[in-house]
Amino acid sequence: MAGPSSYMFVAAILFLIGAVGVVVRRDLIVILMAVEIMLNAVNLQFLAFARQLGQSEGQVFVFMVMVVAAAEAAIGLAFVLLLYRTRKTINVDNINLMQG
Amino acid sequence: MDFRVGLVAVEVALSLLALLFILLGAWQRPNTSPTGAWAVAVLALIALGGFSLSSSGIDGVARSFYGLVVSDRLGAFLGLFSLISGLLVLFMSPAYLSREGIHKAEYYGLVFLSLVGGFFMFKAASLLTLFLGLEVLSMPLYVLCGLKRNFGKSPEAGLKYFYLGAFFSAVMLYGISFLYGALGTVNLEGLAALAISSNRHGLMCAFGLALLLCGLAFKAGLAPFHAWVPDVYEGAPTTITAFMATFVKVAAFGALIRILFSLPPDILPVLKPFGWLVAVLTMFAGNLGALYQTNIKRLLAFSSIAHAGYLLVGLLSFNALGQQGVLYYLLAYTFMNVGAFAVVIAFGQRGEENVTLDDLRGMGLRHPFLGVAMALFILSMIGIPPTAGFVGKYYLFAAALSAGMPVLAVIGVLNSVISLGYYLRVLVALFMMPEARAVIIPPKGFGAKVAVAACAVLVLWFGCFVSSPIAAFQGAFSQSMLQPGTIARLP
Repeated sequence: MAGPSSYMFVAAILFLIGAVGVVVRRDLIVILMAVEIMLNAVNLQFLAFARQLGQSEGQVFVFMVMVVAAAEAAIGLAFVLLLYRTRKTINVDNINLMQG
Repeated sequence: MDFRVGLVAVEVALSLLALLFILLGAWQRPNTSPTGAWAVAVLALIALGGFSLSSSGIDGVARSFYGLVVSDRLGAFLGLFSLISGLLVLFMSPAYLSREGIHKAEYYGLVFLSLVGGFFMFKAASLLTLFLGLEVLSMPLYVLCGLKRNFGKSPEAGLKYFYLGAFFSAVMLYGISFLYGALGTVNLEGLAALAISSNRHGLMCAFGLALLLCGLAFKAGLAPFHAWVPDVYEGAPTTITAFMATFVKVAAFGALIRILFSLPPDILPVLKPFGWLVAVLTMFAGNLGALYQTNIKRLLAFSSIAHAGYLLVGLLSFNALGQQGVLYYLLAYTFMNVGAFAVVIAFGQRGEENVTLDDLRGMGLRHPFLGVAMALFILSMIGIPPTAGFVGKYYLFAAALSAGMPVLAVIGVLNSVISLGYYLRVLVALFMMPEARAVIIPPKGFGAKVAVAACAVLVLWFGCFVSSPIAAFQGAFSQSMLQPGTIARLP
């Protein structure tokens, strides 16, 4: 059986894909998907460690992360919809009413 | 290790009331102010505040929720600060909401839910509780920030806050997963086994802790994760800006205290240089950024970044003086910031008009009550006696001196001098400039005036009568954790 290191490696790659996606992509829905990929990387890592340690604490954490991810998706999509209705665009480059 | 619902009575009451308000919103007639919901919310917060105040005298540490929540004096005090912040915000809400055309009972439900999240953040005994508390605190706030749907900046603020918040909670979770892998537990006691070294375990610990602290630094608005603060504070409804500026800071710093004081003492020399750098960066970012602002909400947002830097100075000193200072400053900061935002609301007009420095010209003389109160809050933010801000800042910088960090204290004082540059501009605009407009629209909002008066009295009160709160705050830490690492040895 593969040890936790290989799972950590896969999780790290997934997390990086997600993080780069958040920074690089311009479409709000794709950015939301990238955040979900990051959360899934975290879930994978939690499960790998829980399995290695023979505990259920990490698995419980994964359920909580899934609940939070679902709530986040609900709020995020509501915001995207609201923005699309008022501005007819969901590109981050057009969200610039406030400049510091 | 059992449920012990009595220890989380405040949280349970807040959650039930939040659900009730959201339900009320469904039956509410359109375009009527939810006066009943407001009255219930205010009475509930007063009752819960009294309950928290009476339970803040208890000694010792108790666990509830099967060991996931810790109840001690620190938690009781921070809870009290949160309830005070919530109550003051509720007082100024109805006038503002009806002016901006937001007639929603859900508003109060979301504020209450956010309060619940904050409570679980600074009463966390486990990283699971801390994470869930952070999310329960954040999600209602995202919605509240975007509540003014027809005002372009408000949804934009909510959206920015939401996306950055989601990103940083993923980063924080990734850190927690490393800590879990290295320590085999997500309990805060488990952090006492944390060791940073060059082997696999040590690297996982270091990486996990760094990411976890990044997530909390984002919530607290510490540099270099502060860029969202001005935009979100400017776009959000002003009542929610006041709520975020005070309550979220209390919750984020409460969580930081919980984590930092669970760490083993030999980690602190490694952490301190980073904390030092973050504190200095935060103070300069806030104060230098504020110098160029003309919108008063943005100016106060930058000033809140600077205040987070001052708080970090006290936290980093890791001595009794610093701990008292942090609590005192959080309380003082709540009063002066909510007060300042309440004045902004009272002067403001529908659609976020009248919130630039030019609009405020001459208003101090035209409306002396609001003008003098604003001057008092500004003086308190600068740190001039006899205000609460002076006492808080004195304790924070004295703590840094006694902890052997004189350079940090000097940089802090230097930053206070820089902050004069923009704080005085507000005072000059209020009192020494000719009025800008031919037609003066009188400030409205009785509730906002009550909040202003209460904050002004309290800023002066806590500036003059220092000894009893300081003694109480001394107890807050000595009961639960006087030295870093001691919390692990408590039952």
